[in-house]
Amino acid sequence: MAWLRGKKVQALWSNEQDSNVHGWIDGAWRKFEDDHDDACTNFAILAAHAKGDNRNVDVRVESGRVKEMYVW
Amino acid sequence: MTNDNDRKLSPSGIPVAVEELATKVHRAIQELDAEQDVIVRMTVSGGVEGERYDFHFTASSKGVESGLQDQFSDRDYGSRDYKAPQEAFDQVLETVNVRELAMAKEQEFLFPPDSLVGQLLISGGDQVIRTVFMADPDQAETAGYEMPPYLEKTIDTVYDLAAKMMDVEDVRP
Repeated sequence: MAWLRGKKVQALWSNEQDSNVHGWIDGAWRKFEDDHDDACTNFAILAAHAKGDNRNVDVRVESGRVKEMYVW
Repeated sequence: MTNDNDRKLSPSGIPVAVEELATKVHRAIQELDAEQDVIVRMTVSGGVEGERYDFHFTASSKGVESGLQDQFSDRDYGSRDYKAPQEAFDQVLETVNVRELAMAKEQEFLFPPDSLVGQLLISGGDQVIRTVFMADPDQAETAGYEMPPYLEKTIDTVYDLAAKMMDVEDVRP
């Protein structure tokens, strides 16, 4: 899977485990990259703003992980 | 070596708006014209050049349409409309479990190159559930992919309906 463009972040989820954040984007839960703690946190911040302000996002999803995100 | 990420939990709930989609699908089964924007669409495509498989199926209250081009087995059935669309749409809808589809953990393994990949889309207005799956049983077995039972039922129903529409025994890859 590659780019999902012009989508909304409709929901966010996290729990007490480290770097474990999912966003509901384009009809499914998408896990944010968790190989690096900072990356996961950064995605969560971007996604929260996108959701809060109803902004469109473009996300690159590979191997079941969000690897890149634009918030427009 | 165990991947610590494999032990992390995933969400067990679905967005409120997706719950509304589940309600819409249920109402569409009860009364076909009640939710006219509910659509079920399944596509399966893949294969190397010269052995391409392309299947599509779309069902809504407005009608049911399906088509297949299979270079490997030399099958080309174009695009067909179903003669009893309400009945077919109902049959498919009854197999759709919106909540299970929505909570399914996204596929986290790489589909091997040239895999036959399917996509099931359930939509109702702005809300959509999108599920991808490995459509070739042999490829799936090799890759270690296990088809969830709630997904398998919908896929089988779609294939069986499509076969009836095309007046053939089977349209599966």
